[in-house]
Amino acid sequence: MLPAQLIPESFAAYPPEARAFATEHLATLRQMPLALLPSFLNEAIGYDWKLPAERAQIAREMQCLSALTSEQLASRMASFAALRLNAELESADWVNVPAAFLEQLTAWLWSTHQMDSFHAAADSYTKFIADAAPMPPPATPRLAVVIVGKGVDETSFSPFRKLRPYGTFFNRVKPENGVEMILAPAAARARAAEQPFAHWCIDGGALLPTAGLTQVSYDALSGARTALLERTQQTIASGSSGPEALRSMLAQMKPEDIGLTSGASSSDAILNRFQLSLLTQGSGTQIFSTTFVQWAGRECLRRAQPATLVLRYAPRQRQQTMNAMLSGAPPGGLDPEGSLVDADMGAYYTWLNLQRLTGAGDARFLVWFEGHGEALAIAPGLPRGSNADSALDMKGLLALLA
Amino acid sequence: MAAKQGWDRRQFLRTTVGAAAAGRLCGFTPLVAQQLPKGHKAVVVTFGGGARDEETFAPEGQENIPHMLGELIPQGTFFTQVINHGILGHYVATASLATGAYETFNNFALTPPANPTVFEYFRKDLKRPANDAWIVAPSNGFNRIGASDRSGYGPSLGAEVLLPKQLLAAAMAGKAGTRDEDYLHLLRDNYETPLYTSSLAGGQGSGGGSQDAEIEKVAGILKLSLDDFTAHARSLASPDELSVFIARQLMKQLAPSLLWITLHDIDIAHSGAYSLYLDGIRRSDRLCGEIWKAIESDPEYKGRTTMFILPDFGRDSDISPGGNGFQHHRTGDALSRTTWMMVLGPGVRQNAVVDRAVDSLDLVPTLGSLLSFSPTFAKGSPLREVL
Repeated sequence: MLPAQLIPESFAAYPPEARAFATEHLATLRQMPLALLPSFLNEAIGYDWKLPAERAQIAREMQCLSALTSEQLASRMASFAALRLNAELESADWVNVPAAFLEQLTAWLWSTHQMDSFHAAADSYTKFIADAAPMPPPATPRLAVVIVGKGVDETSFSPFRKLRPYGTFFNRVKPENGVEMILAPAAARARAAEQPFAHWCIDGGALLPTAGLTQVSYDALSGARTALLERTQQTIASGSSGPEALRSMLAQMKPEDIGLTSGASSSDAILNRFQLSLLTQGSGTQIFSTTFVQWAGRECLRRAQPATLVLRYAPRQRQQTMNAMLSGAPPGGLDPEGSLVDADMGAYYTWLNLQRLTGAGDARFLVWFEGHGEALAIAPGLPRGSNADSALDMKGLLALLA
Repeated sequence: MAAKQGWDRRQFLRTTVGAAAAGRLCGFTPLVAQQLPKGHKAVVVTFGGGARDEETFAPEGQENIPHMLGELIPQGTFFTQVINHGILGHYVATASLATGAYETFNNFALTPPANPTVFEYFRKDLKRPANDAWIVAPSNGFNRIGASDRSGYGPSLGAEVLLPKQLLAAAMAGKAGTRDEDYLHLLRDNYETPLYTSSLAGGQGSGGGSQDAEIEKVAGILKLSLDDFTAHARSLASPDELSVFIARQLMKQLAPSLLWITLHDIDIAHSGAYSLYLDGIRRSDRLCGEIWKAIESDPEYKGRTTMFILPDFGRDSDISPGGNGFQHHRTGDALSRTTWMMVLGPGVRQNAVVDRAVDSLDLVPTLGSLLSFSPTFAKGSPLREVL
């Protein structure tokens, strides 16, 4: 089937809100080339469980495209339409299983040396949408705080090297009650600007109860991780499935398949879908808590575009064989020092991803070596590439970011 | 971006190791009148799991590669821009390096390359026996890389493929009195997918009887008793150390003229743990130094061996929005396609840097010129700077 052949019934298997959305915009969808449309449908099919910012993004994109004349739309889509596909792709069920189609499309683009052309088309399209339908800037400057190094008493590692050119390095922060002093103002921000999924706390260990923040914790997902690894092990042990089949299995999982059950609240269902995606789409999130926090922070920034984000790293397990880690074997001890290095890089990536959002120039960023005196702050009023050796507690440090 | 990468490496090498000939190599004349010693050999070391400049040749990464910087680069010629235009999956990319043509098969399929490999060209043209071309490869996914299915070539002309982890796993399975936990750290496997993991029950698709015979055969070739093998393996820290141990045994016992070693520890980066990725780089750096020392201390190799060291490709940049930095090589951006190559050996200019962009496919034609065979179906060009 080709996009021009779409009819309302094509979306009969979609969840209600996704079906309504697709049907409403059918005329535009019909004009999109096959090299692009399944990517859009891959987002739209999960519309019922998308975060508010994602819904807004999808709606803006579709409004932007719908406002174009047929000629303008064809011109905008020309680089995608120029990609050479094949009959197998055209006959795939890209409407109902767009993720599987995208796997096939990726392999095809690589094998036919069209991946560079696809990337160029995608970059151009993304820029067009960002320019034509930008997300509004946040009502208040975004704040991201990253806490690294839990469990490290002494180290020769010098943290924040990649971030120092962009902010002020503090080396005499009083560490007492630092975590509490970070969470309290984060919760206050949530109370002051209450919005669903706008304020987050993601922890590589246990949950830190904080009212008003959307919370995700590696420890709290222990049961889900175990269930997922069991499913993965079953697939491996069967010996009958290749990597693509494994990825397809993961892509089609539902939260309840790994014990993430929801109450009546739609917020619970949305959060469970988000958590499921962290475990099924992230590589290494199932076995290393540091990878989990980094990826969760990335996905939170990309998808939720939050006003407030607190990430706290915890020691990950020591490296074992992949067989052992994928089978959920007990950790062979923890690796706090290695985890500090992981988290240090993760903090840099969090800052980079913060820079991709609207209002980036006004955003506030803080990374702190938990239990120690080193921290680095980036904010419009703070000098870049400088050191500050004045003693202050976390409250005082956060005040500099206000 | 690719040009910038090459420039950054060049600048760094100039300032750090004093490489002197940069920028003047395009007009090279042969250094040794092409008279290489009789019985010339080649050792190729590839990294399956590229390493980025930030963690290697850029100033902030230099602490991770002391052996390459301090010992190897001063003795060799360094190509700052090696571009891979093919599929960025480790098996298919390594196969492309070995054939000199961009292979297009599914990276995760156990399939042979479509084009003849360097091993087939070498053995066919020079009429070399099977034991003169060997591959030490990291995982089960690589077990078809020794030969293509091209008519006129094929397994009868291919290389012997050794999968040390599979060998160890199989040896362990039949050995009483050993504790699995002493060896499990050597069986870490393909990090792009968990489906190729070795297991202590042995390799995929092998029957018990034929597998035992294969182990005995390899052990006999290596003149290594299973007791010695498993005892030594216990002292090793990683799968790549196991691979280099096996490669050194091959050098001692068979002295193959064409030896290809693929290291893979770096690819732990796919798990997202940056510290483990750095550990892999440091280990690979040390092992490259050890391989060169082994070459230089072995009469069969010393003075007659050219060594090539190159990653199969790079990894995604930190700023590419479609990726997640060092973790993967999915975006196809310039950083993930641009890597480097180091060449050492007789007739190779020392402490030299080549700035021009070369192609990953140039490796096989260069080997062909060096060892005097004709890679008919290879697409690249011989690298004149090292011939």
